[in-house]
Amino acid sequence: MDIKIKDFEGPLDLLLHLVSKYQMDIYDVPITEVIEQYLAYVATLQAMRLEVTGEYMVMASQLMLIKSRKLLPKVADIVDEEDDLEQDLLSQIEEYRKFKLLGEKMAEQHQERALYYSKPKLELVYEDAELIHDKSTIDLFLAFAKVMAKKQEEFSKSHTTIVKD
Amino acid sequence: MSKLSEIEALLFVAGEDGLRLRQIADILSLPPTGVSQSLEKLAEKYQKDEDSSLALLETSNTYKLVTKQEFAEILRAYSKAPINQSLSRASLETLSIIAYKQPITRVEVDEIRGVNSSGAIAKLQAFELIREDGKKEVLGRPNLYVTTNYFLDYMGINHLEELPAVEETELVAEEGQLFAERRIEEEDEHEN
Repeated sequence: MDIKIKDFEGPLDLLLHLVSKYQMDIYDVPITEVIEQYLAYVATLQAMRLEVTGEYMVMASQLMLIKSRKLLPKVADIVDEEDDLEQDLLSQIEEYRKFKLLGEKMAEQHQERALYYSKPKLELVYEDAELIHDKSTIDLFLAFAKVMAKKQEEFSKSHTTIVKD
Repeated sequence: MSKLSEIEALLFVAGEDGLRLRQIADILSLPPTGVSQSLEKLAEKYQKDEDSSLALLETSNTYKLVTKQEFAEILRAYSKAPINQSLSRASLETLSIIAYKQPITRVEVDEIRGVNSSGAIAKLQAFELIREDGKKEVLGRPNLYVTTNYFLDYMGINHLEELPAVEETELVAEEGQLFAERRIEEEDEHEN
C-alpha cells in the first residue's frame, strides 16, 4: 500500500479510506474483507517496525472480536451481539465521515474569511484615563501562558498532512 | 465632520476587534437604524472607489474595517495574523465536531474521531476558537466545550446557523437521505 499511517487521523480515518474503495453504500460494504485489510495493514507496519499508535491497536482488537464472533454459530434466543458490534462500528465510521466532510467545508469557508486583512486595535492613551484594578496575578499568568501555548503549537505543526489520496 | 467619517474613525481605531452596531450608536448618540444605513453607505463608497483598498466586513456581529479580497496575495507575504492562518486537519476535525455538537466533552469528541483529541483541544483553546463552558453532570465532572465569538469571526459568519449544512455535502443519493433524517433529529434537539 502506498500510504503511510501518519497521513491518517486515527483508525476511523483509515477504515473510512478502506471502506471508500468499495464505492458503495457504507452499510453494504463487506465488513469481513475490510477487517482483513485493516489487520493486514497494521501487521505490515509492525513488520517494518514503524510506530503504530495505541489507538490503532485498540481498533485491531475490536475488529478481531467482531471477526471471531462472526465465525461462531448463532444462538437463537440471545440477542445478536456480533451484529450490534458490527453496526456500531459502521455508524461510527459514518459519523466520522460526516465530520470529516464538515471539517473540509469549514476550511473552505474560512479561506474566504482569510482573504480579508485588518490591523490590531489602536491603544489610545489619555492623561485623564484612570487605571481600573480589575486584573490579578491569575490574569497575568493566563495571558503569558496563552502566548506561549500559541507559539508552541505553531512550532509543533511539523506533522504531515495530505489533502486527498 | 460627516457621520460617515465619524464611523470610519471609530472603525479604524477598533481595527480587528471591530465594533458592534450598538456600540457605534451609543458613542455617536444616533439611532441604530441610522448607523446601519450609514454603514451600508460607507461600504458602498469603498466598493465604488477604485483607489481604495478598504472594505467593510460584518462577522460575529461586529463591523470591521478590512482590506478588499484582491489584496490578499500581496498581504499574505506581509501579514501573519492568526485569523488568516489555516488549521491542521486534526484541529479542523475537532473544531467541526465541537461546532456542531456543542456543548460537548473531550471524551465525546474522542469517541467520534477515534483518537485522542487533547492536543487539538489545547491548540483550539490557545487560539480562542473554543472555550470551556461548565461541567457535565456525570462521573468525573468533565469540562464542556463550546465555540467562542472569535470562532464566528474566524469563519466569517454572524450566527452558528450559517455554518455549512450537512445536506450540502457531496454524498450519494441514498446516503443523502440518511443524513437529511439525522439533520432533522439534530434540529429538534437544538430547539429543546
